[in-house]
Amino acid sequence: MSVRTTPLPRMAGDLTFMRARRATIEELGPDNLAVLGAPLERNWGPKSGCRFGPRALRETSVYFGWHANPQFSQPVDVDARKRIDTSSIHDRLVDIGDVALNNAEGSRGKQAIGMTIAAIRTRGAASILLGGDDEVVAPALSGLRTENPCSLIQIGGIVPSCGRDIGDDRSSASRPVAAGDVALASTLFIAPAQVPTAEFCTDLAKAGGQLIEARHLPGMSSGKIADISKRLAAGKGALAVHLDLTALSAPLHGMSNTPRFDGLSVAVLQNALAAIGQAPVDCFIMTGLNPTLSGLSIVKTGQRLLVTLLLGFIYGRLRVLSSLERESA
Amino acid sequence: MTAPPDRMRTIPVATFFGARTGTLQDLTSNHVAMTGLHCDHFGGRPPAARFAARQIRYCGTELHSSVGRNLRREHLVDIDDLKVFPLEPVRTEDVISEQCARVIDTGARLLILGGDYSLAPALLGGALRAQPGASYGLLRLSSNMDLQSFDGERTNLPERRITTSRIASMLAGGVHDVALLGVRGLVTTEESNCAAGTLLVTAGQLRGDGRSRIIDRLLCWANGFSAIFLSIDADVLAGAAVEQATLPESPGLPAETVVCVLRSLHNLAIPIAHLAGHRPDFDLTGRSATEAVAAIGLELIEAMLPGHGPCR
Repeated sequence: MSVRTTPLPRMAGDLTFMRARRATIEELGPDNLAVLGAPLERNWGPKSGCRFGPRALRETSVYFGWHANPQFSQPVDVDARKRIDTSSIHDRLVDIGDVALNNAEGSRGKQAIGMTIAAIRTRGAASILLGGDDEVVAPALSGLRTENPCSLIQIGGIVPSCGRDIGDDRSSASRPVAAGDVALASTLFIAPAQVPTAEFCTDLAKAGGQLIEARHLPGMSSGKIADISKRLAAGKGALAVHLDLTALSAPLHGMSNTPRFDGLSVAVLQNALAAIGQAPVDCFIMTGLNPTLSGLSIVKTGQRLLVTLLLGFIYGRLRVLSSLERESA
Repeated sequence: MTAPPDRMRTIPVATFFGARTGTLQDLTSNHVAMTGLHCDHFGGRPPAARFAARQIRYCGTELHSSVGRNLRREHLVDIDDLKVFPLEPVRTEDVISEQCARVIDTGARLLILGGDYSLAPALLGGALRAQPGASYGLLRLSSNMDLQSFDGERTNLPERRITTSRIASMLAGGVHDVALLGVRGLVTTEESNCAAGTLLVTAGQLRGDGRSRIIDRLLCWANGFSAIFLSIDADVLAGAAVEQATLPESPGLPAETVVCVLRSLHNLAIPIAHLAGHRPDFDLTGRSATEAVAAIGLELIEAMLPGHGPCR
């Protein structure tokens, strides 16, 4: 029996993700969706701070910890007008803490991320990896890879320079593609933060990958996005989804080091993530939040938006909702 | 990627000093139960101390690898935060008292971290509810006496200013059962008169050469009670450790002095303690203020751990 019987304000209590119960990797099973922090960043420049992302996202997520509150066992999503059975969230969503990066130099830290993701996958569980900047993506994909390369859905971020020198390439997907951790044929890029070059589009099309620009996503149905995701998941490798904060329009949040003004709205992206969650995604990677921009520790718009988006994915992945589209009367 | 090892470790989300989380069922007389108090609503100061528990959790988890290396963590349980709602003084205190009583009923010692001093009567009330026969003394480290007169009615004064008076009214011997350490600065004549019956040690005396004699006097005073309610306010610290805590001309205590005093209390029975008044100012972990408070918290745990002064 807990000493306390009612919910807590955001800043108080056990600050696990969405007040999920704690677990260790050894306790994970195929039904679990494990939240894992990777407080890693390049750690240079005046705007460093993405390493505080996991902590900021956990604190913000506590607003959505209603599944741990018996009074809210059956809340209704006010936008979708759909009842949400929280029991499955409470049973299956667990917080396993952060990757042990303390004092580890860069390459060992990245190796630890890969090994942890691999250990989670070995137990059959899916994971949500809270970055960090996009430095966490390549090691996570490396950890997901078995004998077959992974499939990747990248939302926001920068597209790779396929087949060219990756020395100066800022895309988090470049090295995994070059290393064979990700098959370009099994990639879907949604709303990249920079306009892709014609060469990239040609290479991608030749390989069989897809690209959906930000302006086209609102016109796509949830069913179509779910179908594409399921097709990618049907491959032999694992399916990873990488969401970078640059997918969202900067006026909405202002908390990315790479602001953009033609990004996606929250409603569109949340619907898309709920649809993507219908596929058996093995690892969802969230990057790009720098909570130190304009001051740390105030619940800022960007943090709220990212957690709201994550909710869409969690609803979909745990089969709480088949889509966030409002049902016709 | 090489095959993952059998037992891959992650760092758990922050708890107080890396303790495991638990519930009332996990507590025995071998444990120190740590809980957060996210309430600073009645103390009369701007909101800040409500965030102390969170910051100490963050900071303490990182500290435990260095400062708390030898901490006997098997005796520590983080039991989450106390409920403080509804935020109406009388009802809040009743709710807090009831929770404290349930924890102390298990036999565990209770360490409350965060919040401000104005809720201390509720904490002691819980202890007295759980141990009606115990004779408690209040040992307080703070720069303030908070001994404004209390006639049973709440006044327009900030709640904190009457808190020691309220606690004294709950103790068998009144102000004679109160020891105030680390007091400094200017006090009102009324407070000075009230303090005549207490064991009063100023910050200047504690910083001076006669600290060992003071501690002997303190232990002699404490041995007259079956249990001690230990209350430490972060404002006792010098301004170098805690910003805005003091005026330059009346410096507070260095954290080392507070730790030294706490170390001398290891043979006392301390069933309940409160580390209050830390105003973390939304800081990052590693800032000196939170580190100083966390270091005091670690020493407080050592003083409360089983083996040091069983509850009588």
